[in-house]
Amino acid sequence: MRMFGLLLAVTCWSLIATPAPAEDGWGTLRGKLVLEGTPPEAPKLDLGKDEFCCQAEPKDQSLVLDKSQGIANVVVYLRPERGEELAVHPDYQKSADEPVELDNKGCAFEPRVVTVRVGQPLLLKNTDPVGHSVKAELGDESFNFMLSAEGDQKLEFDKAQRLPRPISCSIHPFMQGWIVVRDDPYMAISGEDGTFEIKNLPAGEHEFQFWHERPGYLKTGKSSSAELDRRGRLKVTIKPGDKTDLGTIKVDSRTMAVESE
Amino acid sequence: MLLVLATAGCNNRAPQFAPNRMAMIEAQLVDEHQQQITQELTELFGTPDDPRVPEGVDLDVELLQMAAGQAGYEKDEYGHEYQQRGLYRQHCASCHGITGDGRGPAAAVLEPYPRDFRPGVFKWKSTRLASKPTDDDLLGVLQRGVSGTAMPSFGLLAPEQLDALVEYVRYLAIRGQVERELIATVADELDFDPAAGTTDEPFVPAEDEDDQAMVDDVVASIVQSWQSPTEQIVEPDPQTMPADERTDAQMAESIEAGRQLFLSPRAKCTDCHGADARSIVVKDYDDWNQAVFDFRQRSATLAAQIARDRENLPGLDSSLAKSARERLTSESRRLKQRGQVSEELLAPQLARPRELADGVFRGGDRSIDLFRRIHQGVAGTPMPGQGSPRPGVEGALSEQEIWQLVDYVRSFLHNSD
Amino acid sequence: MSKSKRHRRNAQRSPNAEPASARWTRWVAWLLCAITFPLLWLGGLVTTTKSGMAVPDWPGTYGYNLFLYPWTTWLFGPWDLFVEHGHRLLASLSGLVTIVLLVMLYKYESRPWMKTVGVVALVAVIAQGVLGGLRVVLDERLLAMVHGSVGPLFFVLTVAMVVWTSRSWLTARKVDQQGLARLAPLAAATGILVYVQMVVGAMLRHMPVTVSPYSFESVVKVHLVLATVVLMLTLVVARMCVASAAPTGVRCTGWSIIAVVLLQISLGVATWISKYGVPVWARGMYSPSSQSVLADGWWQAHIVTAHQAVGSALLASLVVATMLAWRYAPASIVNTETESFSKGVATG
Repeated sequence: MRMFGLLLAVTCWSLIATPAPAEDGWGTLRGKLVLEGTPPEAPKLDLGKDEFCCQAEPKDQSLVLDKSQGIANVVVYLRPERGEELAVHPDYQKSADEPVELDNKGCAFEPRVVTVRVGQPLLLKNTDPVGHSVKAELGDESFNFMLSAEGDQKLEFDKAQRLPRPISCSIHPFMQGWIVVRDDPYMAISGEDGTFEIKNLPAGEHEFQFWHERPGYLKTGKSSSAELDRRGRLKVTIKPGDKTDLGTIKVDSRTMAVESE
Repeated sequence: MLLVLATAGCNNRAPQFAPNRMAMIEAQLVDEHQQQITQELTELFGTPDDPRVPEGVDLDVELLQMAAGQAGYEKDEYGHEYQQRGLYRQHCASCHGITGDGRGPAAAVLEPYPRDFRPGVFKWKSTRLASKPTDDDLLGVLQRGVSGTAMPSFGLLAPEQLDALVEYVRYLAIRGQVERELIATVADELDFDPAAGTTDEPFVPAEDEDDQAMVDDVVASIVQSWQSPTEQIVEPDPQTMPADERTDAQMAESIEAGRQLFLSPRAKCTDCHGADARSIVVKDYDDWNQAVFDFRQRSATLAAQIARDRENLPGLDSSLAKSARERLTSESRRLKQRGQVSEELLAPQLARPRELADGVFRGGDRSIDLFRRIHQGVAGTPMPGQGSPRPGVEGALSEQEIWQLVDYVRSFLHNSD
Repeated sequence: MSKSKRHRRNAQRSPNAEPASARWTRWVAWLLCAITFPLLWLGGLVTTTKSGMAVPDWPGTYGYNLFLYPWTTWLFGPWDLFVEHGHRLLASLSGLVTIVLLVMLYKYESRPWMKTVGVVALVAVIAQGVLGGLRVVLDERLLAMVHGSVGPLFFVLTVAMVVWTSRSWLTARKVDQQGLARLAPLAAATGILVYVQMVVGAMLRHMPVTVSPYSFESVVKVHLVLATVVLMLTLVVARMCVASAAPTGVRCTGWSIIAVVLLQISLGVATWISKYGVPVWARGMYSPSSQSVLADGWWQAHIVTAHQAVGSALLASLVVATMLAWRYAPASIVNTETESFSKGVATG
């Protein structure tokens, strides 16, 4: 029985790896995340003694809002059911080998949140004139290595991560980033104005996960047409050839607070 | 003190594995799921007195039997041969705890704290950063001890006894990893209502095929991570390896080159280890302590939230006030649970970079030990690797440069007894 | 009473006039004391080397009668078996000597209460033996702790018997010094504290592996605080002994208290370092060692055991100080003070 389960898991995995054609066409999901209420105060970063970093003076980016209170860096991704096969649109197959860049710039990770697919190269760059290190706890694929000034390093991942994982720099503990590793390409990071868009989703009903580094699961999002559940999840039916707009999802500012001990 | 005596006296029941409450509460698991996970773990791994090995996991039950149970000897099944039992409880549990959670009785008075095996991460090993240690790595730690810490050398134990302990440490690590993964999987995939503390999707692998598939997946992925770590050993390139026999002049030259590298902004060693290799800069937690720190931080956030909500309560109109009050009740309950877990945890200690000039190296002081340490970094700690993160690519420093650093760092060996 | 008076007069006239029987009783008391101290040491070693269950049955040894167990296996077998079986053999010897002593007391001793003391000693040694046996049969660590805590009490009793049968006790005359009267209760109180400290130490040694780190930490703190208090009190007691006008016995006891307590404190520090390493705050004071402590190695085992055994020695020397001070102190004051003191103990 157990061996059978193992076999089943292996077969499922290989099925996911070989894309199946979508029978019902493709659609798009979009929306905008906005903070409702007074934004919590931004914590101040302790920049330590590094001369370059003190000059570059990176700011805390754990909550980035624009003028309309749009929330940047919200991660939205499709959450397939256990063993579900997802069709992958040809456009994504083309981008499967394109490296995703993550730069160490001005003593901050740029971008702060990066999405990468299993097998897709991640190019870790350092454009600063000082050395950085990059560390991530990803189970068997954890890493923690030096990136010389103006150096780079390419990585690939074999395993998807259940949730976004933190990236840090041991030399500059105030540096903080996030990495999302998924089996499929259906994921997006909200932009500066809080909008996001996932294109070419296989039509049908899917569950989407909304996540932000402050609260983790984004549990209080609500728009006129949709409401996230307590784990920041939402079931949406994607119609072929259509753009499903979730509208403005309002997030209660109380879930975005962070206090120090 | 009397209380301790009383608990010591009355607690005659066989010790049990403690559930990973921090992970469970962090995942907001409901009680029912918590119990079901603990039950499934007993199903898979047995108890501290009677260890079991899940199918497909490469652990030797006979060796585990020697390490498990109460310290002493036990009659074999025929009743005439006495067999050794309880090596782990005799030699390890007073620091590392019955569960291997690094919270044995003596843990709180030690710095650094004893290792928590449950995340399956080990610092002193020959393999790549993310890989598991080999059996020889674990054996080496037992034989050598970890100098500069409370971990002694167990070099006096018989080889078979050491093998039993290595096997048991791997058992506790694998068990701990399976537990963490099960918690994460249940919290992510099954439906439950943390506010009400109820679930309509119980976790019962014995009856539910999907639940069993979840368990199988978790076990399979952890088995895979422990498979053949020997293939992940960091082997230096023989071409750049320093010769066995070197003249004093060659040695001095290499040490000086290493010193220059150590001080250089390229290697960044001095940022933590200090320019004199002694004035360390303490700034960060290791992964084990970071998890506790984060847990406490989130508890503080929740406490502040509750205080604010309580303040705002009188200003709300009656319809809003009702739901706000309900939320307050459930959040207060959650905070209380977190408080209970916090009390069991050890207050986080900051990671201390090694005072290299002392000439005391915890993970072994042979050149090859230090080469691998600098090359890959130290798993679970802030120390990054200077070498190539995976085979076939270049690292921040070349292997030749790493050897020079090794020579420099080893030149401090004469500072220790 | 008249017999004992005569006895004392005889003794005062000339030491040689003492009857041979009294000398023999004294020698046997000495022998018992001399056997019991290494017995404590060996008992401590049983805990240190965790050999408590090396022989899983009792009163036999692996099915053999205790005394018929093949001596070659004992001497050349596993170390933990050597320690545990050795502990049992020595304990039996101590029991036999207690019986001999009791017989002699009944035959030759004139003081009736001394006979009672002999009976108490026999009961104690048997009870202690049964406790040790139950510890093995029930495999219960709490019993091990009780067994380990009763041991020093029995040792103190043997020491007291040596003092009671000693020539200086029998021939003692009151010394007119007020300080001595204060010394007796102070030494007694210190002795009680030392014993409490030893029980706390036994708790640390026999801590079940399921105890929470914070409970252990608080017991450690109690042990450290008590150590400081005991050190200060013993130094005061020792100073009073050394400065007293009493015969040399008291002054010697004072010096030995100083020696033993200093040794004991150093052993305590050494025990900590050999078990848990040098604390971070003290690391600058020691030259760092690249060698780890060898678990259950010679040093670790004997330092820890010595720390336990020397505790008994300290307790014994304080008991001797108490007894002698009481013996030599001006009678009137002693009676009132010891009475109020013993009341204080009984109620406190």
